[in-house]
Amino acid sequence: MATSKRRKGPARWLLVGLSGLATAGFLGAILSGPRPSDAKPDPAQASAEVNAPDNGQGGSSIANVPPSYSQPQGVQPQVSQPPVVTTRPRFRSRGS
Amino acid sequence: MTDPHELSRSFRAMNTDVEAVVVTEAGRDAEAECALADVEALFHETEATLSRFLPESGLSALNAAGGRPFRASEWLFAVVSDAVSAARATAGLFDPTILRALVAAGYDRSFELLPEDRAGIPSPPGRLFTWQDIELQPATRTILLPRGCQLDLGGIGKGWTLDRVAERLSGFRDFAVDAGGDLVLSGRQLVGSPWTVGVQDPLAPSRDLCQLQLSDCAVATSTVARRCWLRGGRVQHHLIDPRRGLPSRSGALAATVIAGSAVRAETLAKAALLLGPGAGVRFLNEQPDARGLVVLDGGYVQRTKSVPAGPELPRVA
Repeated sequence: MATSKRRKGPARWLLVGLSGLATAGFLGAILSGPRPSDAKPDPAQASAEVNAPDNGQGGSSIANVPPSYSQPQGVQPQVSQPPVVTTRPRFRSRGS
Repeated sequence: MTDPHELSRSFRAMNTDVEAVVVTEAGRDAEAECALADVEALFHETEATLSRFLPESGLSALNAAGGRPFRASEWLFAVVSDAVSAARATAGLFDPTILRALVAAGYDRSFELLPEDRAGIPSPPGRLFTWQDIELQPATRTILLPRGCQLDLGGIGKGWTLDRVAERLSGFRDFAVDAGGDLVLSGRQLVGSPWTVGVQDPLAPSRDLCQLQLSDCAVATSTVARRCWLRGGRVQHHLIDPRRGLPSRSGALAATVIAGSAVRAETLAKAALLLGPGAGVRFLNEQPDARGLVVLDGGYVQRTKSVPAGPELPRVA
């Protein structure tokens, strides 16, 4: 049986909050590298676009540079935690 | 109601949950409600035409006519034509003639009716047909299948329906339709930003591999992690590799594709999954209108250009 729903537009305070969350999410993307499972390249597939840099759409090439190349000797790299963001995606692509 | 707002409609069709959402405005509510009702009707009509589990469907009649010319309805002919085009575009990795192999693997009834563990060892499907065995005569909408050749349109029917639904909703700038995780997305959501789509981690379904912000495109995922069953003690699934006539063991768990149409996204996702590690992403990179990612058996993710790495936002709990 079909169900219908109606959803109002967001209140101003919500738009402000979402804007803040989007900014936080962007910062999170900058600060967080790829997840461990993303990071392992497949040497047999070197010609594929495997774990390529993200063309500015997320992730960070900076985060992928080993600390020894980006930090002076003797300086411990800072480990930054991405800010907590609670936004859920509106939809999920999950296969069927 | 005068402000922009959403109207949505949820229903079951094609053995999955469907949600259609339209962002509408003052004075267009009745029009939007009518369009959403048409969306549901369209899903049910295409299911009645394309389901291999309904004995009275057009597809069942076509499959029973093997060896004889079959005059198809407009929709059935259109879907079979699109399936042949998709097979050509994927060099046969998507192939609608795999029905015998699918049945031989044990998928011989609607999925919810399949026992979890089927007795017996999978039987070989016998002679393998290919999409090149399908003869189409557009002038008379006639389809000729060789005797013994039967079609499964499960790998394209949902995408084809989503593309027709997008046409039906084209009078609205902003809408989204989700059919079991395959999506068409137009314009923006109510808050003004692009539609957000999480890509489910097939190894941890409560989490997302990444989030995408999308407009004016379609998204589809093929995975071997769903619609699985046991036969003869071995896991079987519904994604048949037409090169072998057996469920795919390519080393890929899932492939997600973003493309200009749902049919393209759905068929390219299957092709990428069947190609497996490395080759799947290389294939997607060769497609000018598609991008995506392939999740390998161990959970490693390979991406085309412009697909975000890692979780841009924390995964959904």
